Amino acid sequence: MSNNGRPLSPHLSIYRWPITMTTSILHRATGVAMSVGFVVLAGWLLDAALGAETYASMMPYLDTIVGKALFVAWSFAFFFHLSNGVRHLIWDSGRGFEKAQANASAWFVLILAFVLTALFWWVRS
Amino acid sequence: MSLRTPLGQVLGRGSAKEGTGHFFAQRVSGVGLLLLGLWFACSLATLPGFAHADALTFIGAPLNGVLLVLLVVALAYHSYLGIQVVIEDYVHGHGLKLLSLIISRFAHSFLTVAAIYAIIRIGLGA
Repeated sequence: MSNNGRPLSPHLSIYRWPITMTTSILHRATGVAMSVGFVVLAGWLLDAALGAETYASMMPYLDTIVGKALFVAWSFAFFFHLSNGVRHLIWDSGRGFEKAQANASAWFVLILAFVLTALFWWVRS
Repeated sequence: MSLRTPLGQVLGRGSAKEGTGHFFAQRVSGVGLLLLGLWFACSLATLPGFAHADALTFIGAPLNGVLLVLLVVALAYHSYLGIQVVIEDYVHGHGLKLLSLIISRFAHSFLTVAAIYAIIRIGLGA
């Protein structure tokens, strides 16, 4: 088949995963993760309102390794979704759509999210 | 030349006039959450601890209470709009899709009201 050097449609064995795809998928995944986190936020507020006993009965679950890992994941989800959300707002103004710009901003928000997550837990510790 | 579909031209109902409504609501609630979320993250990072007394002191402070209610409302709205798109993308079949959207709306409404009830109750010291 002659195709004069024109690009073929994505083919799994030779497909190079673009970083912008990672950020796009992560934006949705972190959004859904924080919707689940909303349940925990509401639960925390409600347990605090219902009294010391109810509150104390919830805390042992949050103080496990799984619980702590979830909070680290939620903090990353928050900082990534926030950074990438600003990236989307800049796109909405019509700027930053060039491939090189989109790739650079994808790496920027990813690294920024990790830095902000680390900063959050450093202040917290 | 009209960009309307043949069916649209025959029915002649025109646009629903809400084409960008969802898009715009998502952005505006997003900007609100940018501010409220950063405030909440900074608060959580600097809270003395997470014992019951610490939680009551934080949630019960007047400004914190107001900002928490705003956070919960903006978060619920933004979350509902986002989950709506996810459901519309991945849940196929009209009935199941509609059911999922209704359950999502009820769940978001319940969590919002429960959270606001808790914040007000703590704020009033009840």
